This record gives sequence, C-alpha cells and structure tokens, in this order.
Amino acid sequence: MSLSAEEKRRYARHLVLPEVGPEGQEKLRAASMLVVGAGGLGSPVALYLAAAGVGRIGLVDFDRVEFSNLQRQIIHGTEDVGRSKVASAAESIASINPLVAVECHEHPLRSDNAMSVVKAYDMIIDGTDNFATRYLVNDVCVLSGKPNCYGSIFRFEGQASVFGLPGGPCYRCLYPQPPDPGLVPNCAEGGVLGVLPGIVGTIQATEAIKLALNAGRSLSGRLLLFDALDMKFRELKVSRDPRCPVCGDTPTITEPIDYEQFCGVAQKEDAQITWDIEPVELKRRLDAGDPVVILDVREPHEYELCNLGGVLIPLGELSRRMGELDSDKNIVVHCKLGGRSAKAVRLLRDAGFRSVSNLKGGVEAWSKQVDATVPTY
Amino acid sequence: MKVLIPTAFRKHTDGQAEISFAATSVREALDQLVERFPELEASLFDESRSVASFVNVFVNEENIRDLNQESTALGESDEVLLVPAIAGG
Repeated sequence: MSLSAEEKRRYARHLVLPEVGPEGQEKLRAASMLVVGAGGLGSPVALYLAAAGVGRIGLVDFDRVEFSNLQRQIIHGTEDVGRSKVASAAESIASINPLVAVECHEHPLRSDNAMSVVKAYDMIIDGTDNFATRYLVNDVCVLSGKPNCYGSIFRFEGQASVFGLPGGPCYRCLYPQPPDPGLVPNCAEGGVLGVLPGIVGTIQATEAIKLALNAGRSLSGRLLLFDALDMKFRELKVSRDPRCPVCGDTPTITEPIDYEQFCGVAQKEDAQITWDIEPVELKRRLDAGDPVVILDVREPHEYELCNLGGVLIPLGELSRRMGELDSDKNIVVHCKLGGRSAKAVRLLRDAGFRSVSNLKGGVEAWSKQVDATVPTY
Repeated sequence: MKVLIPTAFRKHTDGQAEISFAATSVREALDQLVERFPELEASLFDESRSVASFVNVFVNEENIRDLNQESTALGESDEVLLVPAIAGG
C-alpha cells in the first residue's frame, strides 16, 4: 500500500533522501521492532523509532517510573512517576506519532517467554540494565535468527554494536562469560551521565532503521566505544567466534538457559538467605544496646549521600582491608540494595569471620522500614 | 606503549586513564600493570591469571583473540585497550 497524504507530509524529510524515499518509508511502516527495557536506552530508541515511522513497536518492561529515572529516561515525565513504564512510554509514542502501533509487554523477559515474545518482531533493540537479561536477549536473537541492536552504558562510557547478523558475531563471541555479581557496578550504584543513553540509544535506533531500510554499513563486526568525558568514539573489530556456544559451528546452547544461574545471581542469594537480617531487627538490636559493627561496603560518594554511621570499606577494597575489622565482633554489612553486601558477607565468612550478617534490602529498605529521614538515591 | 584504563577500572589505578610504560608483549604489559596496581587483578584476571572472559583486550583496534592472544607483540606506539563488559541501560 502506498503512503497516505498524511504520511507523505509527516515523513517528507525522509522521502527526499534517496536512501529512504517512499519505498524505504514503506519498509519502515512494515517493520516491527522489540525494545527491551523502557529506561535510559529504551527511551530515545522508542521515541526515534516512533518518529521515524516504524510501523509496530513492542515495549518490554515490568518496572514503574521513579523520580531517579527522570534524569535520563526522557520518554517519561514527572507526572508519570509511579505509573507503569510501558504505559507511560506508549502514551509518549502515541503523542509523537499516532500512526505507530505499540504493543506493551508488562512483564520480565524470561527464559520461558522470550522466544515467543521475540517471534513477532523483525529485530530486537537491547536496552536492558543487567547481564542476565543481556545474555537472554542475545541467545534468543541468535536462536530465532533476529538481529540485536546492542547498547550499554556505564558512568560516562557507552558501547554499541549489532549482533546476530549472518556471519557476524554475537554478544557471547565478545563476552563469553559475565563478571561475578558485584564486580561491575550497575548504573544505580556507579551512576550514569543522563545524556549518555541519549547518545548510545540513538546509535542503536540508527542501526535498527538502517537494517529495516537495508541501507548503509551495519555496526555488525564492530564495537563502537564512546567516552563522553573525552568526547571520543573508538571503533574496534569484533569477529564471530567459531567456538561460540550459541552462534558457533557446533553450538551447545540450543534453547534459552537459566540466566540467573549463569550470571551467578540466584544461587548466591539462596545460599545466603540465612545470613540476612531484617532492618527492623537491626534497629531492635541497636536500640537494645547490642554491640554491633555496621560495615558499609558502598563507594565513598554513596556514603556521602546517606549512611547509617557505619565503617566504610568499599567492596573492591575489602579483601585488602579486612584486617581493619575485628573477626570476633558481630558485623552487619550493608550496601544500597543488598547485592554487594551479600558478596562482602561471603568474603568475610570465607576469611573466618563467624558473625557476619547482611542487612536485607540495604540502606534503601532501612529508609523505607525504619528511618525515612535517611534519603534514598 | 600505552594502556588505556576504562572508567570501571580507574578506582584501582588512582584514577589514571592512561598509563605509559615499556613492554614487549600483552602478557608482559598486563603483568606489569597488575604489579603496579594489585587491586586490578580481581577485575582483570581469572583464577588462572588469564584475562577474564568479561574483559576484552584490544591492541589498537584488533582483539588479541584475533591476533596472538596474550603473546601478541607490542611496539612503542601501540595502544592496549581494556574493554570490560558493562550492562547499564
């Protein structure tokens, strides 16, 4: 079907581009793209894909909009705080381009649903915020033969590439294994420049649109690094690994696996649950005058934002500075949410500390359940 | 030659983003780097002291996996990039 008068007006600047033109615009209208994560990266991706006239956009996210999202997640507004992210994003898209069909998937992407969600789309744009979902997205794209427009961000740095194209590499070719949980901080712990996902996300959207148009040279086989502080782009070569377990010559992964376990998230939490202490229980002990040492394993800048008056030893320095702690004392370790402190508890117990517990839910749970004057961030 | 340190590792290098010294191979460069900044070891190496699988080492724009692995030779003007996996979105 040729373009309507309304479409010709709306997409006029595309139509004059020889690389797009009316045929290209029709290709975009016929295209379907799944944006995984309606957060920092997903915001610019979804907005630009919608403005460009991509016919059908799927959004996957199970989170709600929080105030701390607004510094970078520009698809959501102040009045959306508390709302479902996909509902808020769908509304923004409708306002920018009502011709786009939006499909909301308000649930986590999991091993048991990802194949069927992805099936209905031509390509996937990975804007997730954790390693487990990134490996899931990668594997499902390779197994379904769909391209994955990849981007990720940390502080002032970003990465972008296209994975899963025929003959090209996948995410596992580049990174066969994820780091141990807690080794690489996420954006909540490490911080992120608000404009950074704007740059990386628009690169992902550009690659997705090029793929739909079959125009230009794809980022497949190249990893683009961006450093906002130096304002520098670097391009590195990435080749397909013939021994890759999912896209290699003799793949061993032929269906989605347990990614929580692969990334070491689930099993550690299960094993450590008996070492957890509830915030109200810690409060009770402190009020009763129990001698408890509070150990804060966050970074100094987080400590400055809020703290429980504990001893500060960032997780990365704990192995070296363990000697500063008395192994006979009752120690309660905390971080922001409980992830890094779980790792610290393991480290200390392995080193012979007998009474070490993990403050469940971290300083955030403390603020919610015990003392609301402690700010969250 | 020069090693470029990514943001995620700079807390282990006193904030330094670039470190220049003399080394003739990637292995030698990484060993010297860890000797100078021992806290880098946990982020850079696995238990067998090989480069961890969530870190890629590039010499200029080539991955050492496509060159001569850790034995890849280095010249005076080469840049060694450490590129760890990041997951933020």
